[in-house]
Amino acid sequence: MKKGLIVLIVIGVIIASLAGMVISRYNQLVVLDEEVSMSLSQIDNQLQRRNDLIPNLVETVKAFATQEREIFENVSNARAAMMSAGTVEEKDAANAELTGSLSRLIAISENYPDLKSDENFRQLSDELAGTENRIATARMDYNNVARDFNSIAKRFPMNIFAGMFGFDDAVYFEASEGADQVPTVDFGN
Amino acid sequence: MKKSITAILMLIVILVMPVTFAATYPNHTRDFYVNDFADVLSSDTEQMIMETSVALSEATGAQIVVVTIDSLDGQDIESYSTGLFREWGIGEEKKNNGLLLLVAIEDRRSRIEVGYGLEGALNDAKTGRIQDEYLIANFQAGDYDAGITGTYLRLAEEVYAEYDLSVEDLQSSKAYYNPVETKSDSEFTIFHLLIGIVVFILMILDLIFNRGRLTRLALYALARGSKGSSRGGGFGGGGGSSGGGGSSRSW
Repeated sequence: MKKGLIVLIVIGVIIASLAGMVISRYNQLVVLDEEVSMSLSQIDNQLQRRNDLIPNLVETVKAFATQEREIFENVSNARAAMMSAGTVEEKDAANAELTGSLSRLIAISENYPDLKSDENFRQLSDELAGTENRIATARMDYNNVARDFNSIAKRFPMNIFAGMFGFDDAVYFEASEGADQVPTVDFGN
Repeated sequence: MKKSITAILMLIVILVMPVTFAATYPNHTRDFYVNDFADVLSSDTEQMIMETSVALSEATGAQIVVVTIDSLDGQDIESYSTGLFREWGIGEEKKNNGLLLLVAIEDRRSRIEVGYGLEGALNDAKTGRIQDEYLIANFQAGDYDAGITGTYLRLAEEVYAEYDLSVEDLQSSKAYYNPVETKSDSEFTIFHLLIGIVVFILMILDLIFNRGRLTRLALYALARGSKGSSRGGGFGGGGGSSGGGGSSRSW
């Protein structure tokens, strides 16, 4: 009788503490899930901002370097791919592609001194470089909260319950590290 | 039994240990607004920056910080400056109205990093143009002091305008800035002399009867105390952040 009672109490305590742990982890996940979506929309804002910049930039470069058709085409294709990307993985890949083609677009200014010294071009390439850097920063911030989220969701006890509560793992932005190289023009010389 | 308790404790320590990604940035100086690690600024310029930045911060909360370093140690200036900006917390936490002018002398790279809250006043193109106009030519001529002064004043002007302040408003509030060294040492009185004598006698007694244990302990505590508080006083960041806005140049 006495023994049975003790066993019952021990089991009760274990269940209660487990339930408490699950509840507190659940609340943490809710908060982090919110942060993950917020950081993701921060990336989207910057991606959108860059997409808006591109037509102006392309027009400006075209005025000085008409024959670089292939580069213009690449940029416009990458931009279209970026705009139709839905999931994090698609965005990640499209972003790398677009960043690459834009840095080639900026780089051709080295061959066109008039373009390089054009006030409008300088402004636009500063805006572009700034936006690329904001995208890189936003990606880093996103990956950090995604890591926090996953480290709780994938650990006991939430590895059992996360799916049940409808939490999916947060996907990392991890396209080749070189892709966040900001295109730079050396205006100094 | 004992072993398993140790194992559990170790497991807890490992689980609780925060994961840190080490990117090391220098601590800011007591002056906070001027950090001339590369030693390229004249003392007049440093004083001018302190007077302007302190007054501006008192009036608006906006913080303009100047940092010169020798080398980025292979890091790109964009991520270095965003990291430093966040580490130091430049600008107010809610408004994020910080501004950082970073110059890496050996890498020949400069950057103006703008907190979220000032991106309206200073967009990327504008920060680029300011460096083109005020920084590059001076730097190419080797005059870092002039380049930084011009760029800094131009930036300050933009921040004044953002807060509807005129330069005169701030000049009259220069009184806010009290250089740290002007804090007068408290006067020496008979009372201090008496305390000194009593401490000296106690120390002698301690040395004779107690092999100086208490003295050593007191000296040790004093040394630790001063180490801990050496960053107290002076100025600091308000907890502001940056999303990576701004522009970079090389010369």
